[in-house]
Parts: sequence; structure tokens; C-alpha cells
Amino acid sequence: MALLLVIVRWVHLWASILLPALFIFESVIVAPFVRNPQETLLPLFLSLHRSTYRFAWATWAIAQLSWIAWLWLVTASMSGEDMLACINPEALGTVLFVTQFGHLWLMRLVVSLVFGISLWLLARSSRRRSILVNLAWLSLVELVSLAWVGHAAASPGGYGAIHLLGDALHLLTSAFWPGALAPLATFFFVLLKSGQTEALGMAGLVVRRFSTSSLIAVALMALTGLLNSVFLVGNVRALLTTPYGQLLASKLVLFLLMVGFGAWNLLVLKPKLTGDVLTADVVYEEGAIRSLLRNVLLEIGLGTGVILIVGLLGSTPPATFVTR
Amino acid sequence: MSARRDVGLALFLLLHTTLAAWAHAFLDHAEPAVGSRVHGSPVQVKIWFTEKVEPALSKIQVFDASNEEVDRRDVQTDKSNGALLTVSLPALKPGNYKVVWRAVSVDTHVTTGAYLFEIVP
Repeated sequence: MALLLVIVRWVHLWASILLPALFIFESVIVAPFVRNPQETLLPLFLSLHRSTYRFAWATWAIAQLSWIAWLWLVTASMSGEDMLACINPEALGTVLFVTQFGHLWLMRLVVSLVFGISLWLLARSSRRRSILVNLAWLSLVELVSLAWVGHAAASPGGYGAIHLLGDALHLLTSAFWPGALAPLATFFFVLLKSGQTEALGMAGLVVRRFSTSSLIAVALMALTGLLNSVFLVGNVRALLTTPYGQLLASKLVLFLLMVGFGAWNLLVLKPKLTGDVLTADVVYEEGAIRSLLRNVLLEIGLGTGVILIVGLLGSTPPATFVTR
Repeated sequence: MSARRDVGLALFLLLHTTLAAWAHAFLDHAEPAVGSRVHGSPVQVKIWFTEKVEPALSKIQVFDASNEEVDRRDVQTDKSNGALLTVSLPALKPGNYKVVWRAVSVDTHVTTGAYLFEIVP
């Protein structure tokens, strides 16, 4: 059951990071180009909207299923009963209505339902822009609220509030990076599929905006990660000698590898993109975009590893408890 | 094929090594203290944990030497400290007592433990 819980946490966390990332990408990163698009670029943006929409529904469904599975596993664990016996009104009722996790579960369920209704409206309403922004906010609330299921929420005393704030900020920034790497990869796929010169020229403009937001996100992620480490690991010795510390060290290695790929994209590949829809050389731009796409996919793979480690960290006693 | 198998095995071992140590709300300290001798019957058993706990699903039980439960079954957390769990006791005779606890931390993890203390005249 412990292994199942790690897997469920991993899947749910990935889905929770991806959902706001999709809408942040559309409502912030590409928004200026979508507001008054060139007529020749309309098919490109329509294709991007359709991809985002399908991706969002699939991710939302995975998030709901994994959230239900999380409740089931937690009820079994908290009640001390096996996975079938725990499905009874008393056990579920106690967990849902009396525990902090249960209150959070219900709150997130409500937010999820509102999100689902808004997503359904997105394809049917003319107020697309405001719905996109609402979807971004709702999914960010869902993501950040996961801080209340982590170690930070259980920390007693005044420092617990600081720890919780750090954890919430850490989650928030993950939607901007590495979360937004997935819609960026989708954008590159759509661009390459279009084959249009004007479309290829968009790559440089979008990557420029993405780079700005991701640089800020990486810096915030490093700072909040350091704050969390102070609370949960305490010192370098514990980082190297305790299970929690070793997992965190592994996460740090993957994080640095991702930052390395990002730096390569920023300093070597991005300058190859002209960002000029009129003078872009098709062959040259395509080559640069393919290289960027390959690196972004590698970063996403590493990011998946990071989130798996986060799932493991959630099931591991913090080093500061073990070394007390 | 061999490299994939090795990576898979490493991941499997990593998962299981980590999962072997998944307890969270450790006992930080207690009154009566673990393994202590106290003069006179204590009014309550207090256990401070390393994390805030859920009172509805956590418990402390106190058993005497003949394994009879002797506490008042009124487990609660302290209003000002969510990591402190208490259970009150009636007047107890001198002898050895065993405290058995089950803590469910607010981040959903469950830990259990037990310790002994002795009441002397």
C-alpha cells in the first residue's frame, strides 16, 4: 500500500502541476500573439487551442481519479483497516469530516468541479480570455493547496507557518517551470506540423517570453527549495546520510541537470531563432526548433523523475526528525 | 536490455528502501517519561510528537501488568499544541504500566509505538 501511495502522489502531483501550466502558457506566454493574430497564423493558434483543450480534459480526469485513489489509500492507512474494509461510512466519514486531509480533500473537490464546468464552457463561450484566466487561477489554487498535505502542514509551532508558505510558493513556481515545458513542447509540435514560414518565425518570440518567466521560476524554486531543506534536512551531513537527505540530494542533481539543459537552450539554441515572422529561413528555423524540442522533452523526462522523488519524499520521515 | 533491467532494479530497491522508513510523527518526549519511575499515580499520560496529529484517529492506551486497559479513553490534543496528545488516568496502584500509542499525523502518515513506566510508592 505504501508503494501505491507513492505512485498515486506522483501521478496526482504531475497532473496538478500540468493543469495550471497549460493555461498559464496560453493566457500569459502566447497571449499577446493570440489577441490580434495575423490571418495566416489563425490555423496555428486554433490547432494550439484544440491541443490544449484535449490535454486539459485528459489531465483533469487523471487528477480526479488519482485524488480519489489518494483518499482511498489514506482512509485505509488512517483507519488501520484493509483496502476493502475501509470503504465504509464510518471510516470515510471520519477521514473526510474530522481530519485536515479530509477538509482539504472536500475543498479541492469543489474547486475541481468548478474547474470542470469552466473547462466545458471554454469551448462554448465567446468569453474565452476571461475563462482561460479563471482556469489558470482555479488550477493554481488546487496546486498550491497540496502544501497542506505535505510535511510543512504538520510542522508544529510558529516556524510551521513559514515552512508552509515556502512549500506553497515552491508548488506555485513549479507550474511556470518545469510545468510549462509540456505546453511549450506541444507548441513546437504544432509549429513544426504547420510548416508555415510565419508560424516558424513565431518560435523565437514565444521562447523569449517563456525564458523570462522560467528564469524567474527557477530562481524562486531554488530559494524556496533551500528554505524547505533547512526545515526538513537541517545540515549537509543529514543530506548525505539520511534516506530523506539522499532523496533530496538526488532531486537536486536532477534539478541541476534540468537547469543545465535550460541554460543550453537559452544561450545556444534560442539565439538561432530569428523571432521574425517575415524573414525566417524555414530550414534553419526548423532545425533550431527541433533541437529545442528535443531538449525540452529531455527536461520533461528529468522533471518526471524529480516529481517521482517528491512523491517518495512525502512518504519519508524528514531528516530533522530522524537525527534529533 | 541488461541496462534497462539494472535501472529497473535500482528503482525498485530505491522505492523499497525508502518505504521501509515511512513513519512520521515520532514520539519526541513523554510524561511519564519513557522507562521512568514516578512517585505517585500520574493524572495523565502526555506524549509530544514531532508533528501535529489528528486526535480523532490517534490514541494512547495504558495497560497494567495484567494487560487490562486502565486509562479513561478520553484522548485529545492540546488546544495550543497540535503535536501534544494526552489521555487522563484514574488513581493507579504502584506497579509496571505499558503505554501503547498510535499517532496519525495531519500529513496522513501513521506511526505506532509503546513504552513502559513504573509507579513506585
